[in-house]
Amino acid sequence: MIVKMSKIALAGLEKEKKRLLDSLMSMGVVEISEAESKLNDENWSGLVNRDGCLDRQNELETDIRKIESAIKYFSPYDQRKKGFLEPKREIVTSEINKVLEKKPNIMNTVSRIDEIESELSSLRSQESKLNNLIQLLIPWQSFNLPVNQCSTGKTTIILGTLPENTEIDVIKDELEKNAPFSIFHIVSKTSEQIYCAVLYHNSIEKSVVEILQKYGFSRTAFDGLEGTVSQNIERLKKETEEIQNSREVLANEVKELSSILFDLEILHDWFMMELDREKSYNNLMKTDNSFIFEGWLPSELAGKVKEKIENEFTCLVEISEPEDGEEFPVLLRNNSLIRPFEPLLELYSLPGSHGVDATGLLAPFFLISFAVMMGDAAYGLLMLLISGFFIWRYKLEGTMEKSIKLLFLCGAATVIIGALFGGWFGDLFDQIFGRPGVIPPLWFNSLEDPLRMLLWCVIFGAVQILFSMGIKGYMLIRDGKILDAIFDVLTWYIFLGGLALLAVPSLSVAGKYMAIGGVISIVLTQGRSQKGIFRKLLSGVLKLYDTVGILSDILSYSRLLAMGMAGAVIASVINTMGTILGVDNIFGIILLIIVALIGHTFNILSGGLGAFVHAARLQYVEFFGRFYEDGGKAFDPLKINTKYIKLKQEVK
Amino acid sequence: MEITLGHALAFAGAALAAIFAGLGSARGVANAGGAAAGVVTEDPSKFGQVLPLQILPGTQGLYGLITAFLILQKIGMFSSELVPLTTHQGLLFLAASLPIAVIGFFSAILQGKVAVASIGIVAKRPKEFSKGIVLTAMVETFAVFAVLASLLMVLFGIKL
Repeated sequence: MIVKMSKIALAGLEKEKKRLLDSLMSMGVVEISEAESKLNDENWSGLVNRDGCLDRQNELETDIRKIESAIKYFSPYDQRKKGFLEPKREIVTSEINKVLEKKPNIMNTVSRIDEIESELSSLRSQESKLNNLIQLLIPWQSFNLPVNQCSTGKTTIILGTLPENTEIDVIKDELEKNAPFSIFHIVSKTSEQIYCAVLYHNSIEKSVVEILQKYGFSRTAFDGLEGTVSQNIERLKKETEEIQNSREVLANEVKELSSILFDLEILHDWFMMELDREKSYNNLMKTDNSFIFEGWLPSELAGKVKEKIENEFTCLVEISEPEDGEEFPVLLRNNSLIRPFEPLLELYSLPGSHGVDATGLLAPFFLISFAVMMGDAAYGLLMLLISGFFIWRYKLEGTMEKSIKLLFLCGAATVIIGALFGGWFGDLFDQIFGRPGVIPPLWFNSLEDPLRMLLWCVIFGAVQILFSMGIKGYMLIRDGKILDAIFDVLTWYIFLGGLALLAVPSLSVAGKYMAIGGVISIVLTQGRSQKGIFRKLLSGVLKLYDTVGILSDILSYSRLLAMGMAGAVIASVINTMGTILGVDNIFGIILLIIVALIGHTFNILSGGLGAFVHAARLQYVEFFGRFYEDGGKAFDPLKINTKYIKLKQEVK
Repeated sequence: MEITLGHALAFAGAALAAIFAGLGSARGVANAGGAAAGVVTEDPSKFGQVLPLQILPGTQGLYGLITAFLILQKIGMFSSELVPLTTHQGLLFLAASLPIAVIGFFSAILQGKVAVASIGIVAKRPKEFSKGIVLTAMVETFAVFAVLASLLMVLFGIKL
């Protein structure tokens, strides 16, 4: 059902604006219309100005972003046990006020977190730099001279590396021969390089360097280091320890600060509410001391809201019904059994404010379509149990609640349909026990008799198509176009009914005359909006072509068979693969369990997605095509929109 | 048990179904995957949304595999001995594999194109993501019909 809306116009005092909008927000039933058209209207533009302060909104947005990143930063320290889909915390207003008193402190913490974050990252990079240096020094550890004092007046020591595969003896020989005043010393060896020191008299520097270079010597310089290598390593280790200590200090600080996580979340949501209210100002029109806005609210609440606001505030509230043909925002309201199907409608497009709410109309057809395409009782049972668990365990809200409940209903329908056609994990039990018909179908086996299945799918489609034409007729009658309903719907019913009766041997004569009567009435009436007898007849005859459309729509329901069969065959393939080693030995059983677990999980997911999408398509294309008027704008009231907390009325 | 030309033809049918449906799916999934990677570069949190869109053109490959499997099962590859086949019967298997081989190949590639466009929806209007799924799945209809045709032929059309 589409909820009837009334227009509300409200004029109030600027000084009460904040409180008034807060009050509207907590009621959550009034949508404020955009002021754009009024502001552009000549009659209004001179009198009022646009309200709303973009700077304030930006400020709030920045604050929210900062708090969000702080919350994210704290989340590893969150001590609360948080389950999946945890309900929001319930908070009373006085608690919010307590938090607001601490707001400057909290904001300081938030900026402190920012600082800590950058400090930590600079510490991290320092530490890794030191660690790299230590790694470089370790091979030189046994070199005991201070690295900055490696030369005397006459002699020099150079340090460097040679490739691992260098033949040391060859170098030593050559040095002895060509540069006799030198000593070659190996400091250490790794799998990649040889670390060596060469002492020589300055007079033979050139020949030493030449020889070394020939063997791929590369010099290592320790710029800026003093003392021996091991002293340096010790110093660096101490430094990294210090860094680690200060990192720990900072981490502890974060841990301590994380106790404000509670307050942060509350503050976050408070800022969100502030922002929402500030944004709603954008749609107000103001003078110096007053403001005015127009909006929508459900008619049944109009009286109450008016009374409450007028009692509490100095203001003028005017409630009026929408003018004839005026579009209003659309809010769907259905009983709890039908409500889970609303997302299907939202996914397509909401009905126009004067259309019909098709939720209840499509629900049974969607369920059956989905169930036939899923087609497996065991799969349905799994869906039922999993979604049932979520419904039982968690307090779900909004679209999430509807989707899970839809899954639950689809699961239930799949169990029934699957049992009718005998699919329990495909033919798993037949394969295990090695004989067909272990769990016999309650009706017939769709895999063994696909033609019969196809016939029923098509009959199901025909019912839904005829039903959609009926809804069209109802809409015409509702709008007082009774003749149109007779000409556009009843004639088709006669014609199609006649065609159907033709298939029944005992009634075929009656069917023939009905069909002929239907054709004649369609030809005579369908061209009634055209001018001239010839044109009228011609467009009447052309209209008969719609039969093709109707037939192709009905045949489109053969996808029910196709999807169901594809799923059942895939399941059967999985079962065949699983039982390939037999079920009378342990390996066979293990294989069966593994293959069945993976295979059937996959089949449920891919089959479920396919069944859902195609069931939805049958509603959107075949069903909606004949009657559905979309294009409604969703009712979007000013309301409290929070992420972490739920406002609770204070108990007095 | 003698291997006949009939067996060769039936194997060729199974191979055709698996090859072409799989080839098409690989193309479709690859194209969609490229687009998906682009979106994830910008916003890694959209991974969950682009993944189903990328997978959608992959079902054809599955249908091809299923058809191949059924053909092989029907000619007795998984039991102790192959069922004797005439050349004509082999040709029937070959023909039965054609719908999913041909339609599977083309529909997977075309579905990949719609998937790429729908991944664009995720990039620009993440809230309308489910509409992208519906649009992409529309192409699937024809692969479903093709696999139905192939399955009906294999399961009921060929009497051994």
